[in-house]
Amino acid sequence: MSLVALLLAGFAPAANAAADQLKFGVDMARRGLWNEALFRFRQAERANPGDVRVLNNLAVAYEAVGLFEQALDTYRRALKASPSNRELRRNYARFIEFYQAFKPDAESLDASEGDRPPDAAPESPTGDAAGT
Amino acid sequence: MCSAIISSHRMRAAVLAAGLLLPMAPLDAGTVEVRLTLPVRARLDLTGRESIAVAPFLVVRDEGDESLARSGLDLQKEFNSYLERLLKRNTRLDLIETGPVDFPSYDLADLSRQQDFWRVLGERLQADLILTGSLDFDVQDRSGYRSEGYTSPYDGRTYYRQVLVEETGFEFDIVMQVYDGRTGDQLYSDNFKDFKQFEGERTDPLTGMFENLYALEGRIAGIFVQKQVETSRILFTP
Repeated sequence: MSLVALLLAGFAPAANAAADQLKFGVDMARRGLWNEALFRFRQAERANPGDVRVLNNLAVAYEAVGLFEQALDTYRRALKASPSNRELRRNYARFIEFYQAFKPDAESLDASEGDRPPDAAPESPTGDAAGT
Repeated sequence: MCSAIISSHRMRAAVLAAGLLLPMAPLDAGTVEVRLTLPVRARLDLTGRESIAVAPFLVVRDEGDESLARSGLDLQKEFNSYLERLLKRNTRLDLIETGPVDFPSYDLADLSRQQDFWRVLGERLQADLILTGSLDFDVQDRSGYRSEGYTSPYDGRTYYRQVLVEETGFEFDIVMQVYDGRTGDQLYSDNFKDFKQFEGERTDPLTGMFENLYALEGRIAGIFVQKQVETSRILFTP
């Protein structure tokens, strides 16, 4: 039991730090201070990489400061981590709609892509998809 | 006694583990909607284009001619002047006076096929772009009788009566086209519509026209310049 507790104690500060940075970042975003929010979400990602909530917020912050390529990449990473997250899919669909109008020469993007992981392989006879 | 102590130790360890586990548990699925401003690119790429000529817009129809004549409103002149101000304010394009233009046709669909005409006009004016189109300004008398309830001061009951309501509607339907002054190619074509309604039978058409234009200004400017739009996204809160 004590071993488990020690192991957990090692992870707890990072998770706490991620939650703190996420909270502060959201506060900043709500005030429209997007550069600060972006910095906080990056810190949160460093503390808790792969967390879909952090990645979603980070992608939105990238959008807000005009770093659209990074936003696209981060949304895709988030979708890979959590393909069925409704809020994330909604954000992604809206972003793609905007991005296609803003940058028509960008690679072909499908707004409905938010309904499935962006890098999922086409349906195969075995039903396996990339990432499984 | 001994088993009670062991049990107590186990309990403490469990509480400790649970306490340490808490921060690792998934964050609550709290969300908050935030507003952000995103750029919308101009409909036309102005790279390498430095001048524009605003050719007279064709007035397709101006219903309510009587009220227009009464007000002395020259629709074509006012609209062209408005467009020139808008272009000066929003773009770095040099505005070129067109003077009178002899159109080969007064049908916009036909004109849009006259590539040579636009190319020659562009050469004559030395304009990179030519802006033109058509206007349809419709003044509508929308007065009529409406049912209105009132409470009688004598018996406190509510009665309904027919009341004449005088209202004027203004509908502006604009087709805007932009041609390449060097090749005569049509670069852009779009339709803008707006309807405004005002109380009063004889509302000034000039007021109505500018109310319509103010409503459409962002879209018209968006042909030439990048705009900002506000949108919303969802953020997750811990």
